[in-house]
Amino acid sequence: MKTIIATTIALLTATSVSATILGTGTAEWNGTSGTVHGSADCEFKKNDAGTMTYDSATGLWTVTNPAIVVLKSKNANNMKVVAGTELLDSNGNAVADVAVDYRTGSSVSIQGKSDGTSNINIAEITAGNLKRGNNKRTKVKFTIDGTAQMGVDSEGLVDDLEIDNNTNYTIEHTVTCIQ
Amino acid sequence: MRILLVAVMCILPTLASAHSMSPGFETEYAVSDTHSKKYIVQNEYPFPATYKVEVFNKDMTPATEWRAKKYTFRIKPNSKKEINLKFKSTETRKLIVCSTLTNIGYENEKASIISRVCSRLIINGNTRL
Repeated sequence: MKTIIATTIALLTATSVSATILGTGTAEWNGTSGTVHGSADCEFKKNDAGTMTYDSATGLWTVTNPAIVVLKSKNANNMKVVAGTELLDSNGNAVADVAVDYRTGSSVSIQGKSDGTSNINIAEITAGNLKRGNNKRTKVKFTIDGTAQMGVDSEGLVDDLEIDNNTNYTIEHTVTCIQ
Repeated sequence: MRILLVAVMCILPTLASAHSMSPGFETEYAVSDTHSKKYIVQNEYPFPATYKVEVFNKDMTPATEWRAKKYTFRIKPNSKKEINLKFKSTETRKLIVCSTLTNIGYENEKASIISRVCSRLIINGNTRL
């Protein structure tokens, strides 16, 4: 009798275990990642120009849609955005001096390096301490926003004599990544 | 069909690389008074772009005593170009070699956001015994 009960329990247990194994069976997809981080240490991944609007009463250009620059870097430790100092026409000719101020609206986002640093100054945005020790990359996104004030002449009037009505103008921003 | 479209959009990369240059930081030993160095600039914008090559000293002042066959070069979309530079190498030099975006598109418009990728280069000068 004892033998029958023990055998029954053993069979039930085995059946239960078997059912459990079948119920939690797993499958895997295996693969290698290949080259993810590449040979280039600085890679510009996105470079979108912004837009600005002009107030002729004050001589102030105000960004309406910021420029966006995204980089991925492996061994670069520092990146820098430097503002141009001239208003350029469509041929790249300077038509007036401008003083850019990045401090309103600009931002720096650093991913992959928690202790990366950034500074937003009047005419310069920097990102630093970006290099990781594990050969992986850091992603840095610059949102380039702010204003640009036109220069004034000796009478204190806005120096806008070379500005045409309803014409597109450009202020350059140089983004440098040293690898 | 809508699910398939969403799936395809998830698989496709949302951004392509736009501008890069290789190699990065290197230290080299000159064996003659002129040292040659090759860089590759990659334009992965979906349109042509013009780049200029610049060389600076460590403090970002313009370097002298170097030359290139061409100082500006236009690269087709999703293409790369070799830049061959020659440096005077009679003494040790610490340089920064940059490729700088200047113009973009089929109309060759001036770029407003100027990407500049720079590689540090140390040339240990050729010393005669």
